[in-house]
Amino acid sequence: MKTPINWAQYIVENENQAISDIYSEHRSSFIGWVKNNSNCDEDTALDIFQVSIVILYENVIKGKVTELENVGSYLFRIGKNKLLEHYRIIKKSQHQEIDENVLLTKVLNGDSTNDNVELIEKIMSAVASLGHPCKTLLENFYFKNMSLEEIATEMNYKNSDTAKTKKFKCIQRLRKLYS
Amino acid sequence: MKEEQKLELYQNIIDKLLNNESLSELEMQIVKNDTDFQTYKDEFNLLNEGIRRSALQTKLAEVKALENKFIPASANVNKPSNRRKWFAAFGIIFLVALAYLYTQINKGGSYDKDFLLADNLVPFTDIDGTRSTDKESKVDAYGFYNKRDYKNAIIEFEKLLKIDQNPKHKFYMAVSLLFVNKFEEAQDILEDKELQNYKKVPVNYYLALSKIGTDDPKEAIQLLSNPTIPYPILDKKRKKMIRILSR
Repeated sequence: MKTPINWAQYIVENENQAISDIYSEHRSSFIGWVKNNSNCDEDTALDIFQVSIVILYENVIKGKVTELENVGSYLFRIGKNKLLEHYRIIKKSQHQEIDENVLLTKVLNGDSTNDNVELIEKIMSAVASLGHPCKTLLENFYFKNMSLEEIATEMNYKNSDTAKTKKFKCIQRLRKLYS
Repeated sequence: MKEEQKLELYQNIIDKLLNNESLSELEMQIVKNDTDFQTYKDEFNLLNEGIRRSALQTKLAEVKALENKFIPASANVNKPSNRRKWFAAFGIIFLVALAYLYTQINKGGSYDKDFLLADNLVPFTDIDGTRSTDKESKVDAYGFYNKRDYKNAIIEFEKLLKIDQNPKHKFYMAVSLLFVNKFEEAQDILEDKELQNYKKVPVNYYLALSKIGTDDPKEAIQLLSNPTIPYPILDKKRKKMIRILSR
């Protein structure tokens, strides 16, 4: 397995391989650590591990983290916070029979009291139904913060102006789909 | 201005704001005074959040799919057909080992310690009856072990033992060390008091093998002569090894 000096850069340059490496390298120790430090079962520990990886990924993609030498230590820090959130949500729910999928969505999405949750879920399904290339284009621009030039190159558009026009049309399609 | 042109202008302004780019005078005015722009911006913020969560959901699905790499390894190890294969392999290796030993002894030479170690050690997950790979956290270590990739098995057992000091893991760590001829390190583990009291695996049999590895056949004979618990599958081997070593 490659051991890069800067994991953040590795994730940006080769996200699939980097995430796969992080997953394999830290899976056992992370799950063991969660189980030893909480009363979570294996499945919950695995969920928290997977969500933590996604959060790590987002923090890197969004540029919140640009230098990351010890990816394991950073992943465990995220995991600790997610574990605390997990307990807060369970405490709030006031019963243990909580659906793990609901819990996972809440942990991933943060504040569950957001009034717009239903609306955002509608938008999410609209984004999913956009399909390629609109979904990819919008995610590349608004989530991955790729420039129009980068998008044009990656998605084989003539130039950045074409990418810009396509992007606008995709947003308008999305507006129509969810409204 | 046509509706579409207006929306395109709004979108350009929003994109500039997101990327911290400077705005023209006209754009500044729109941001400050145009109520339609504010409505569009509020709507876009929701769209943007939906795009973000959709991207995260996709990524989470990809991350979850990585788990599939781990499941087949644990599923295969416990299949009865695999167990039968292991026992068959064990039998063949044992017969070959005996034949080789027989020819070596008849030549007048003594036991071949490397040969003894290499050919008498077999995966033991089946013999002790445990299903160690049921728990996914152990899959790496036992997966490599059963694939006879002992160098990686040792690395994974080291990690596993940091989390879980289960004597069974210690035992398989020691057996893996024997496979790569790290006899003294294996002995350190096998002589551990907790492992000595662990009756589910033939600790002393492997400790004896490690003693052969460190040129201590007398100690090996002693260990083989006094098995702490009987292991029928090893009993014949044990007795034959005593005979060979005694010569």
